Amino acid sequence: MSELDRMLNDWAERQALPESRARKIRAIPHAELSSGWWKAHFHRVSDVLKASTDPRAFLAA
Amino acid sequence: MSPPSRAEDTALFDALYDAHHRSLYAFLLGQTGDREAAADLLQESFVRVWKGIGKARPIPAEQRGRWLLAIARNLLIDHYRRRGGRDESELVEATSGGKDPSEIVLEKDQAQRLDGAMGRLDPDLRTVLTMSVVGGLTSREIGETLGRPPGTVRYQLSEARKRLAEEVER
Repeated sequence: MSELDRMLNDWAERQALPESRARKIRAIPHAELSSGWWKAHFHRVSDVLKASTDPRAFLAA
Repeated sequence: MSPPSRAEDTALFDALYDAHHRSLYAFLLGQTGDREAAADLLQESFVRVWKGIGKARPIPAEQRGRWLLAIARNLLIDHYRRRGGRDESELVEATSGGKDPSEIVLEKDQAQRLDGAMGRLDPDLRTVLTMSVVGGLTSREIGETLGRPPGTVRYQLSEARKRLAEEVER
């Protein structure tokens, strides 16, 4: 393994998605829908939802 | 036919997450050069996925990765818009550290030099490299995700490594 490869491997480890965050994201469907976090998050997301996330538009592109 | 159950929706979400979260995070990390921002955008992407999980069902499995990438790209555009446009100097600042004396000393460390070099790398090259080393994707997989020929990806990976090597060896 070259020196650059070793440095890149170290860098990749430092930049990895934290395990706690990964668990939080994977648990999104299991989150309590009535929780304040969920309501606040959905309110914000609903403001920016774009038509391009519609699969019909995506598949037609 | 009965509508999909909540359990089926959750199973589809889990499958999408398991198959694509690494590549999506690596893409966002490469684009932003910022671990926190990439994690936030990944989370926001999967909140959208869950909210629109019904839309994922008719998409063929092999195209769902591109659908997720489209969601992440939209969020990335919003991210840059909120910040008033892409500011490369800010990205460099965010990844190369501050300027107090102790940090200047640390800059001599290889890890710090690599962080700085990564921050200065062209975002397109950084994205491809990040998808390789953080996402663990092959050139073919990166090409399929980004819509580029594998040969182009291999060239970009080589170019990114060459530029990094030049910077860290200075």
